[in-house]
Amino acid sequence: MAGWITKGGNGAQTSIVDGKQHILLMPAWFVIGILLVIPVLVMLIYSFLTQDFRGGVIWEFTLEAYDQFFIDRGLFGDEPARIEWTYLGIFWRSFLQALFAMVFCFLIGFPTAYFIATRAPKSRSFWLFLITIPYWVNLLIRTVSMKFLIRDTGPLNNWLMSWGVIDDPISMINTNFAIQLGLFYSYLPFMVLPIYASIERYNFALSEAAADLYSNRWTTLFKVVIPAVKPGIIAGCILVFIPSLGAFLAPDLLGGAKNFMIGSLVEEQFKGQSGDWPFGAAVSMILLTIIMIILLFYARAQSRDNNGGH
Amino acid sequence: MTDTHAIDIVSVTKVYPHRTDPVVALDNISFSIGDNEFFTLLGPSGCGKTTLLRMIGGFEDITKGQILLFGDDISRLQSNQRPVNTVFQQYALFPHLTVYENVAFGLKRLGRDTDFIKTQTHAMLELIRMAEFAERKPSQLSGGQQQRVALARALAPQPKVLLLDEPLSALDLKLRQAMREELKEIQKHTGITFIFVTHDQEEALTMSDRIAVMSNGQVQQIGSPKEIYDNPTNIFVANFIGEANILKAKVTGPEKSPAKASKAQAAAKDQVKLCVDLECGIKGLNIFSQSQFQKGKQINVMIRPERIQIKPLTRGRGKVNTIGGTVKSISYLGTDTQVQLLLDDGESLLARLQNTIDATSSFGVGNKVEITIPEIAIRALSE
Repeated sequence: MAGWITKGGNGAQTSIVDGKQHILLMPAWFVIGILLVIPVLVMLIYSFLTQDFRGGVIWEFTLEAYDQFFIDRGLFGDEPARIEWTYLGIFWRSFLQALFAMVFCFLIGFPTAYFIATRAPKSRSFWLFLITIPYWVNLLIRTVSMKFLIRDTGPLNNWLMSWGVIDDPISMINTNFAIQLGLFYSYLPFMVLPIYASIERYNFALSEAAADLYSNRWTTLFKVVIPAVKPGIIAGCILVFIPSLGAFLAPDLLGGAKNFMIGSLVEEQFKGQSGDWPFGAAVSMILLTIIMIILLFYARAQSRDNNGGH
Repeated sequence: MTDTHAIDIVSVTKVYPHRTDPVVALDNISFSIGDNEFFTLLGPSGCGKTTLLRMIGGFEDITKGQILLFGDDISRLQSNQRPVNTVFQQYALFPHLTVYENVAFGLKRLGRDTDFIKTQTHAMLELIRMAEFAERKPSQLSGGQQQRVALARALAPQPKVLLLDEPLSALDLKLRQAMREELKEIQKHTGITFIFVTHDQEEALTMSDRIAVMSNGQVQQIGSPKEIYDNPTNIFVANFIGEANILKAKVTGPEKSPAKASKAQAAAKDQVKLCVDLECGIKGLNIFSQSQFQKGKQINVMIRPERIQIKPLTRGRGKVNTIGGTVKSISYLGTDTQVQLLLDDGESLLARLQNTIDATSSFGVGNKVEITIPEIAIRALSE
């Protein structure tokens, strides 16, 4: 599964995998089984069961949950079937949000990672430490403080007004901007760390070679540095994009009701007695499937890229 | 070689600043490199040779001084503004680009037109005999092939000077020897000035038109390989290039009975002849020196191991320039045999005898032998 993120990762494993040392892999199999395979299987099964109105499921097979997601049969289920746009709309908005969060994280994260990786080895760990400090605090608390920071009477608006940049407070809460800010803040380190790891391994003689061959800073960056650290950038993008897609804290607390995202939709289904467990499971399975398809396409493009030179 | 200077190094100093002890990497050095010359900077690691090369390439700032390229001051130019290209030590080929794209990289950045880039890149690939590898990635090439691609990439933009930073150090011996020939060929063929950095004295001797021997941020000596090998100016150069026996001697005056001097040797320029007594017991030798010394001065003289002659001890008197000694050890090196000698006064001496067809050694370890030191092979060292 990790093959498409770290090239050659499989090569290092073959001696263990090919040998008769499966016993040593038992902890890994255990973790993958308990934490990965079984929960996903539970979700898959639940998505095909019937909703129990007090929460939970009744063990009867049905496609009701998927039907509800894709097909609109009117309020009482007696109209001709049309495409249900409500949930697809939420998916589309979530994708855009996640995409923007990924782009912003990259635009800020790449220079940050580059900066850290080019410091003296001793001070690098200090900078990385600074990056990770906020993450010692629970995400919920951080998101709530973000809400406090950007609310109409919060410090951000107060500062802007006291500097005379604005006359009236800008309402930022319950906007896409607030969600972006929340997602960006939550997932920035997931962009910085893999890119940092790539740049740290980057051979800076390549930059010198590019300069020697008449490149200016920008051409060196785009023609040499970025292609060389591409695996780290892609890992960072995946690590930001996928959790952003399923995030629910930032959209919930900062986005409000009208900026609903997939995460909130799923959360809703498992909350209290009004929830619909099979529907929540189905939404999750649909999301999972879409992500898998994207990653598969990416993996294929990547392997074509690698075989290009043969 | 013409009188045009490709590079002038003018009182260049490099200091790496540090709070407590700043490091002087280059200490006010000046010299010139001629057009079309194959010039080598030779020295042990840390002598400043790579720093100097990187300053010419624009990768290091110059603390003080100037570097001129065909008379123009390039000291303040960025490396992408200097018509100088570099072959890097670990090649630094772009891993995501093919061989062709690597070689064409510089030409594209210079904005040359497409047809020219194509012909020039193919010409370079032909030159290094890599045309059929054009579509390969660097990771699919052997070390020697990567080396040649790095060379082609640096030559493609037709630089005025090519800098080579220990380009052969990562190759194995056979390949290294083949590449020496090839580099020399390419240098002659293209007529570009090559500045070659190495710590390998054999590489320097076989390839260079001239060599600058460096140590501790200073140039110790500049000259042709023969000049440097035959007439080193000081102990460092004598020891660094080849092997050397350094003996102590006392100057007894100017040359005695000049008629005995061989005419060929007398032609050596800037040289004077001195009469010295070696401390090991040989007296009244007429030897070459680059500087004049006063009578009575203690000096160091050098003799190369292969110029010493050894014979089994025979009876007889009046042998010229001969002293007695004992064979301490004998090592067989293939083409030569190396003999460690212990002179009667306690000094040790290294000799090398060529293994000719009929050379059966007429002495063994522990034997007493006669050691002859021909006076024309001895050089006085300035320091």
